[in-house]
Amino acid sequence: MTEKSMTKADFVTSIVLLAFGITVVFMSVQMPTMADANQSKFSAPGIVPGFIGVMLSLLSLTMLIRSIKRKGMREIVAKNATKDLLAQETTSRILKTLVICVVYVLLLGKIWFPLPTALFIFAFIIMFEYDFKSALKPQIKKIIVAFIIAAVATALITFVFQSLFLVNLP
Amino acid sequence: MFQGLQLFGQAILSFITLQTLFNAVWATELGIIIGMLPGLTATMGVALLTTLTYTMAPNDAILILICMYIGAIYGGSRSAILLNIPGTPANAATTLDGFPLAKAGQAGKAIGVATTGSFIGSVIGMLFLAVFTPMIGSIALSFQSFEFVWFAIFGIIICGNLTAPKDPLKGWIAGFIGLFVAMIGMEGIHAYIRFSFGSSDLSGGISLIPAMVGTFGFAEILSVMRYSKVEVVKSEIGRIMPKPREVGKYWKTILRSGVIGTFIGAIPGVGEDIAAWVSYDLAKRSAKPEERAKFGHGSVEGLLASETGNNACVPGAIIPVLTLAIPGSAPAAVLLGAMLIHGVRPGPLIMVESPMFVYQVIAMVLIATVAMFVLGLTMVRPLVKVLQVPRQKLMPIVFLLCVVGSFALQSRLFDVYVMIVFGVIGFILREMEYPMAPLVLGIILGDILDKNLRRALILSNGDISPFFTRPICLGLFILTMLIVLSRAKWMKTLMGKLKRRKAAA
Repeated sequence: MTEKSMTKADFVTSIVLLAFGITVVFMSVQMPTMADANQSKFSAPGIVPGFIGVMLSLLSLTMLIRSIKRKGMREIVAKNATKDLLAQETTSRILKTLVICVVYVLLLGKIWFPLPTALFIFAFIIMFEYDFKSALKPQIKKIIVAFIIAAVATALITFVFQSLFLVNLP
Repeated sequence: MFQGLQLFGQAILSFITLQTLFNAVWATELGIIIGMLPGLTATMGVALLTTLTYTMAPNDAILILICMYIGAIYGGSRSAILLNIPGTPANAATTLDGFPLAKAGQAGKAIGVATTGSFIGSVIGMLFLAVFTPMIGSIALSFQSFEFVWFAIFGIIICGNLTAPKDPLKGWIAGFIGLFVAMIGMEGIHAYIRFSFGSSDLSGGISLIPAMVGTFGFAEILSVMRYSKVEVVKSEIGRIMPKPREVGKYWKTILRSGVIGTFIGAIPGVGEDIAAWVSYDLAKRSAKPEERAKFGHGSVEGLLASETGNNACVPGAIIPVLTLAIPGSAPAAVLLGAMLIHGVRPGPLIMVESPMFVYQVIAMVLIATVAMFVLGLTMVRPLVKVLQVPRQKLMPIVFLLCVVGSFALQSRLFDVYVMIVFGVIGFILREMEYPMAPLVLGIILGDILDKNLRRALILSNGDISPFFTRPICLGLFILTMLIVLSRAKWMKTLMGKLKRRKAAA
């Protein structure tokens, strides 16, 4: 991140964190003190979260003031920045990875474990290796290799974890 | 003293069985491989093995984890030397001198020097572990809730300060976010459920291991997948075993780095990466002028400093785990979690309740160190091949390990979702230069802070003066304030300098 975009990011995150900190304080104050249950009021469950909320608010306020001083909010007007970020190849690679991982995790527990697992490994490798714009024929080897890796890895992981380490699988 | 030696001897003897040695060898080798692979860190390695070994006997499991820890911190030097990419954050300083050495055709020598440095560093750290654990343990017996409250706050402040040298504010924010995460779920005094919003999963709290696997595993996968290519350097690996004289003439640097590494390891949450940087920096400053010019261009002394420092940090980080139940680094945090899972209760009482365990841990460190040294000097060439596996083939399997690792402990899918959420949060926070170590430390210290602050207030009936009048409390309070104030002043002078520079321009 460049220094400019960092100041901008700090400006936004400090506002989010400040709101978060204040919410935590607010929720902590509303917690019962346990005094009516004949307990010391100093054992109230809200004391420590309240303290953490106050500290978070103070720290994010410091950051907010600092980023205002560094003119972080002026940068926010530049709208193209978000578009540029989305257009970058690195961003799309991160998003692809995130989406395929989340989809896989959401499938877990619903279908027999090895099935989505093999599919996930296969799809992951193909997504980053296969060139969808080129012809299929010269790339057939990539597909076969991905298929073999997916099958072998799934079989190995299922066997090693279930039989050797005696661990439950989703 | 002699009783300690006797217990240590017994511990060593109890570990010399075929099965233990077999475990030590595979765990260390696996650690070296995990450390070598960029994107797989020591923290994640220890976290994954924790879930895999939880059906084993406590001693076997903890030995495996320590072997993984030491192996991974060392293994990271391989990719630092050969690829110019630190395998774990701990080896960032190693790239500065290791990679130029490899480019000059001395990859084998660099690996040998790094291995020797790591070995000696680990041994120095182990000696400190052996001497200081009983000592600190006996002091810690007099600690009450007041002291523990300060330890928690001091830990967050110093960890945030050292892991985010550019912007300590972000380190402290990360630390307090970690403390907040620990507040989620049922609290320990009245069993009142906080911040669960009616979810029965959340009321059980956020478990440490899935959160760690997320922040150190999944977040790492996301950032590794950002770029498509790894530049594998073809470098001839020649003689690996270094000549004793090559290393011996830097004995001062080795000793200094070992002591500094251990000391930094013992500071809560401040881990191997900082240890390596600090010992590298100090070595550079105190080097002879002709040697100093070589720093950054392939200096053996620089390589030794960083690798000795980071491996000395490992036993150092275990000291507070055993004596105070406060982790000295992120992998040590997982180690602490693993000890609790296996029913060992580290903390001030450990020297009273189970002194044998302390000496067993020291023996485990020794076994792991020796295994690392032997494996580090052999099987170098075949292992380099692992570095050539393309990331899009490796990362889906790593992600699978993250999923299975988070699921295995409690067999609930909620933990897998926690892993994903923490991975995404961790990735975003890291992009904005928030350090992860204070966050993790916060998750562990949150519980300590919560119970002890309230206990202290009940004891003093709401009077906060003991927090400032008890001697250790006062010391910790002054230290905490000094850290915060020094950073504030530092900011001011920097701003002043910038303004002056701007005015001059």
